[in-house]
Amino acid sequence: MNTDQYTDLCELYALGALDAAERVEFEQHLAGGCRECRAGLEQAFELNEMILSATPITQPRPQLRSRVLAGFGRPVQERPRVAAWGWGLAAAAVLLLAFGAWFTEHSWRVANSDELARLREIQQILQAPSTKEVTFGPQPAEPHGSIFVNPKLGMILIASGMPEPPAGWTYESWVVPKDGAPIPIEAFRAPNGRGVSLVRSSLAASDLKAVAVSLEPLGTPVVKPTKLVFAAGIGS
Amino acid sequence: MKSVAIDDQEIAKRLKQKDPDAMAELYDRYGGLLYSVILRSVGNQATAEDLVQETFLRIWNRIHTFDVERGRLEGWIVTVARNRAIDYLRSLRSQPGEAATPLEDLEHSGLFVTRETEADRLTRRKTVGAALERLNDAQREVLELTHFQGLTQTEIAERTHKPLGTVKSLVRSALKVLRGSEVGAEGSR
Repeated sequence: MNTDQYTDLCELYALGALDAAERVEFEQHLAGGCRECRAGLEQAFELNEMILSATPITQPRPQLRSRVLAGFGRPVQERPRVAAWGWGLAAAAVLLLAFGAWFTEHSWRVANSDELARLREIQQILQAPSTKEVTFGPQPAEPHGSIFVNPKLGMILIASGMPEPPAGWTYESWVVPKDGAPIPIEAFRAPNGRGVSLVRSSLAASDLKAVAVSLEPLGTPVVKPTKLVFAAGIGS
Repeated sequence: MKSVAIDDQEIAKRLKQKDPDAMAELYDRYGGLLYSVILRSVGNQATAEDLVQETFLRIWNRIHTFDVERGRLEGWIVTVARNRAIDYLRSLRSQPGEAATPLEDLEHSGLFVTRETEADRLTRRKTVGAALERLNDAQREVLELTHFQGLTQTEIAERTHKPLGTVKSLVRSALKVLRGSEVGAEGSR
């Protein structure tokens, strides 16, 4: 390829729309220090923006505004009604932002609408004024974090300081009823020691005494916790 | 009256200070555009709304990397929105073994800085808008598929049942028109 042919690829490169072989070739060419292509690339980003920005405007539903902004601490118009559940929207919003990167990193990989719905469910629980936070494991070197309990919507377990599971093992979340054996909820990963599990249970939060996490071998039925990592009381 | 660029600069400054009201202003200014770009890509209202939400979250989380003095806020956020939509479409297409370019690498806010004056940019924008009107149907189709569907030229050839060489010619001619290096649109080959 000559320089003209390379500069023709700038817009597609900036869009991430080059075939793999072309992309590698273009990047090698850029790495060689071609000034024309570097300048072309700057202009390409700008041209692409202008093409995108020329899109005719379709106004979204008015509800989208409040939905989007609710994640950033607004509108905060009413206090939780029950003092015992008064952890509050503001703190939930802070947490939501703190884990924004997690959502972002995971949500772009979603393979289907079920996963998007799951992310939405997590977000709803974190944002709900009636959600209560229970912390566990105050030692930073050990698994620690929070369980967000909403009496109607469910629970979210957010844990940090989780050790890397051995090869062929995965984390499993559990609920521990006040009266009965632990019930497995879902397998989840904890990249960089941080894991999030959506704890859906048919039992009311008031009937549970703890949320637990175990290590389970992949590909085998989960019946009871194989290696308990921690159990955190939910105090209800 | 303040210019768009100065208003954007102020919003960006306040976003960096994590001011939620700045997010509301950003939404009021660009929410319709971001939604429209995403909807154009995914074609579904509910999905578009989810992706708009993800887009604003990403902007909030990444605003610390934005250069307030030289950055083009609109350019950056519209690209972030487009890329969320393309990531979504790619996840649906799911092509194992095909190493798609990670779009995250192409939306670093440092890539969206300007050396032009606002007046120059407005002029260019008008030129691009007029050039879009001059594209013929075939050129418009490939542009839609690259910019709003995230397809490579090979994928476009497969989808449109056109030879790869024809697709490349169409893309090249469409972009030349838009770069302003040609007066009129070329015909498809």
